[in-house]
This record gives sequence, structure tokens and C-alpha cells, in this order.
Amino acid sequence: MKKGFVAGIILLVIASAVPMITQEPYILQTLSIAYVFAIYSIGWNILALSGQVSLGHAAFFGIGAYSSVILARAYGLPPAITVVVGPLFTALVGLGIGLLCVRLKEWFLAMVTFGFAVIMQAIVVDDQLRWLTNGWDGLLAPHLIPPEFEPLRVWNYYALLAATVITYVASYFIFNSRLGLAFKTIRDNELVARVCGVKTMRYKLLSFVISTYIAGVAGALQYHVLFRFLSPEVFHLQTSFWPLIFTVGGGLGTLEGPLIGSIILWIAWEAFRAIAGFYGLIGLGIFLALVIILMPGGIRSLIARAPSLIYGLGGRRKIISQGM
Amino acid sequence: MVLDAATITRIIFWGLVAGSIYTLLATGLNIIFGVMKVVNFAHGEVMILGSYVTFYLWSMAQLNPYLVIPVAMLVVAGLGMLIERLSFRPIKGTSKINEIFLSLALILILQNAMAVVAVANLRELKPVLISSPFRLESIPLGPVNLPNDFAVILSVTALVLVGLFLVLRRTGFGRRLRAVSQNRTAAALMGVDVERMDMISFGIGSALAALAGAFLAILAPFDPYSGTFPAIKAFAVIILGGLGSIPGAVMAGFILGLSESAAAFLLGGVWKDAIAFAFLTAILVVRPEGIFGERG
Repeated sequence: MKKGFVAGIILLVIASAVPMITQEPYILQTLSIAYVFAIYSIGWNILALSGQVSLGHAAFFGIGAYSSVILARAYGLPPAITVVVGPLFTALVGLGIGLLCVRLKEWFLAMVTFGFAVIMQAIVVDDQLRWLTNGWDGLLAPHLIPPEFEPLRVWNYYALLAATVITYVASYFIFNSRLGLAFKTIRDNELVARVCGVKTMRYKLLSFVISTYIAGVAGALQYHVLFRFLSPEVFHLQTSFWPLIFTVGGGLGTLEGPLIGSIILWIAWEAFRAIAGFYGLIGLGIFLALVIILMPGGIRSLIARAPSLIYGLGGRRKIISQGM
Repeated sequence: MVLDAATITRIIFWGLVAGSIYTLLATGLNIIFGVMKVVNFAHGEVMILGSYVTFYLWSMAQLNPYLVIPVAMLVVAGLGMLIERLSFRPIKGTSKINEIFLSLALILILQNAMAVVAVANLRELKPVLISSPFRLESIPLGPVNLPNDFAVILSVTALVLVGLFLVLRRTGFGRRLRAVSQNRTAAALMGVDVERMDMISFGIGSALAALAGAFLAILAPFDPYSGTFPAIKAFAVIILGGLGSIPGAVMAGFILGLSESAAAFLLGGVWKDAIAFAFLTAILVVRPEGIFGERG
């Protein structure tokens, strides 16, 4: 634990130093997006921690973005407030989906969430909601950091870094509390959890609420800080896949997994996608398949195993999933 | 809208055709689920694979598209078996969650591989359509005409479903397949090669998806990303009918097709897609095991 704390501090120092070394917009933008994805993936991971896999987190990411942007535009509230308040609506929707799904096992849950994200897009672009969402034309999101702050991209970078640190620390406390223990017990064996006196239904709903709230915050940050132009494209299937790829790639059900996965994989993706086009996405799919088949612990397990790998004590790979 | 006889008939025609596609998809998913206990989330992409294979065979052979469909089904069945062997077999028995992730990886791979091929052949990624020779012909039936394409699609679907039912019920192969889906261990002990059954069931499911894909390609333009919506509808259908139940899939497929068509005609476009989700919600609240499903 102490080693992890030191490593975390070192990483944080490096991350804070980046804008002092270079203010290249492309580098800052890439890292900023990676931070948003890290927040998003940490949220997704909390749901996975309780054994529930969502294939439609784009719905919550998008609802968070829409509710925050609409609040900021309609009531003139500062985005710094709506980013926190708007996603409460996401959590409410998450609670509803959770209520629908708590009794369901893996497949059903996956199918319902998968469908929900796609249906959300159809609802948002519907003509009857045009006054609110402006259909396919989308909405312009107000700046979180007022444009007077110069240089804006550095301020944006630090804002997102701070949000990532806050989310990560929150997730640390969840992982190391009774709450996290309850989630893990439900994931490993729901019956045992119930026998031990864990109110499984309540905890599963709670993980839905926390997870969707964080996903909503990530969505709101993405549009108030980075992209500004919010369109129904946000509900695209790919948006649902990212946190899953990052978390599984980094290490499913672990505290560091989503953070490591988001940052390493997003940088790798940025480096490749310009040359790769469609092949990049094929490569991403093959990468995900290979991780699942060959390296179920994700990148994190490689880092954890690095010393023994270097000394040739790698040990035999076993096809087991990381506790799930 | 005024609800006259012509409108009702039209609603029924469209509903039956959409229902055929959902039913074929959902039946394929259920056969795979029955044997392997896996829901293939990439089923919609396998369907579009069927659309593209049919499209290329049709444009190369210059034949009636309906004649190349059996060949396309065989090709996609082969590809499906290959997919099963290469991806699902190695992680069999690890955990359901791994299987879910793996089928998502398959979505990414299949969608973009099809995009690569389509761009290479058509220069750009644009939706394509198979133009059927019956496009302008129709059978007069009551107040409206039944387009010939609809008639062919409905009868082929009915024939395939009846054929499938007979194979599953009346042949030794069908008996073995049902044995594996009822109790894998017992079937293995009785000498059934369960792993081969996995592959074959994946092949059959993929072939049914390819058939649905070919119909879709005849009815509407498609691109590599068109598979998602029909697949989600098929998931709704198998939840509605009960996971693993083929009669349930047939019934629920047509119920969904008809109610969607009614919603599209009477309430407007967006409700067509929302109704599947409304059904899903209702059934999950009232009867999570589906209409025909077993409890537990």
C-alpha cells in the first residue's frame, strides 16, 4: 500500500509538471481527454466492482453532459456548479435502470444497458424534445474555466487533473471501506453476501447510483472543458466501449486498473489512430480479445509482475478472470 | 391517422416482415445460448456480414439475389464456426463477464473489418442495397397489395423455422443438440462431442443471422454499422420470449414486429424504437424469466 502511495505521488508530480515542460496543445489535449476517460472508467469500474457489467454507460455519460449543459444554459448557472449538480439527474436515471436490473444476472443486465444507450440517442434527437436538446444540431456548452484565464488549455488541464485526483481518491475510499467490501462480496458470491447480512439489493443500487453519477460528471466535464459542442453523437456505441476497454485493459475490478488503462491506452490510441483509420479500431478489438484470452489481469498485472518477469520468473499464465 | 382497413393491412405486412427478421436473429441467438450458454453481442454484426456476403455474391454472379442467399448462409456459417473456435473456445468456462467482453471485441473487429472491405470495394463508406427483381411487383390482396419481396421473405422465414423445428425434433443430430443444451455434462458422458456442438450451434445461429441480413439488405440500404439496432431488438425479443426458448423467440419476434409497426404508423418514428424498450421494461418488471422462460 505504501509503495502504491509513493508511486501515486510520483505520477501526480509528473502529471502536474507536464504543462511546465511543454504547452503543445496536442499533448495537453490528449492528456486532458485521457483524464476525462479515467474519471469515466473509474465510475464504470465501481459498477463492475459489484459484479454488474454495463455495456451502455454512454447513456449516463451523455445524460450527464446534457443535463449539465442544459442547466448552465437555461438558468445561467456557472458550469462549475452544474458539473456537480447536473449529473444528479444521471444518478436518478441510473437508479431507475438499476431498479430494473438489480434482479437480473449478467446477460440480461448487459442487454438492457446496451439497449438503453441506443434508445437514449433516439429519444434525444426526437422532435418533441427539440426545444430542450436541439436535436442533431446539438448544444454549445459554456466554458467551465472562463476564457479570460490564459492560457486556457493549461487551466483546463489542471482542472481535469484535479477532478481526476478527486475521483481517484473517492474511489480509493470506496475500495477500502465497508462499502467496497460489500460490493466485492456481492460480486464474488451474492448468496454469501446475503448470508453475511449485506442487503444486496440496496448495495447493488448504490453502486449503480455512484457509478452513473461519476460517469455523468465525466460527460459534463468533457463538454464544458474540452469539446464544447455537445451533439447526440455522444451516445455512440464507441462511447460505451471506451471505459470497458480501458478498465479491462488496465485491470478489471482493481483500484488502479481504470486509471492506468485510460492513460496508457488512450495515449497509445492517439499515437496509432492517425495512421491506422479503421485498422486502429480492428486493432483495438483484437487487443481487447487478446487481453481477455491471454492476460485477464490487464496491464496492471504486468506492472505488478514486472520484477519477476525481468528475472525470468514469470510463471505460467493461467486463464482466470480477475476475481470475476 | 385514420385507421382504415388499408392502414391496418399495411401495419400487419410491415410488422410481419420486421418480425421475421427479429425472429430469425433471436432464434439464432437462442440456439447459441441454449448450447453454449453465451449471448453473442456481435450477432447484429454477423447479420450485416450476411448482408455484405449476399451483396457481393449477388453483384458478382448477377443472379436473382434470393438464389445466392443459401450460399451466403453457408459462408457466414463457416465464418461463425471459425469465430467460435478462435475466440469463444479459449475462454470457455472462465466467466460470463469475459464472454460479454469478448463479444464486444468481436463487434469492434467485425464492424471495422467490414468497413475496410467496403471502402476497398466501393471507394467510400456508403450504404448499399440489393435491388430485388421483384421490387415493383406485388400481389393484390384485399385493400392493398402485398409486395412480392414481402411474400418471399415471409414464406422463406416460415419454411426455415419449420425446417429448423423438424431438424431439432426429429433427427438424431437435433436430439444431440437439445441434449447438450439441457445438460452439457450428461450429454458429454453419453458420447456427444459437446465442443463440436458448440461450433455447429454457432454456425447455425450465424446462418440464421445471415438470412436476416440478406432480407434486410433487400428491404433497406445498409452499412457496416446497421447491425446494432436489429441486434438490440433481438435482445429484447429473447428477453421477452425467455432466454433459450425458441417458440418464445418466434412469438415475441412477431409481437415486437407488429407492435413496432403499429407504433410507427400511429405514433411516429421515435416510438417505433422506444416500444422495444418499453416492452423490455414491462416484462422485466412483471416476469423477468420471459413469457416462455423457466424460472431460476
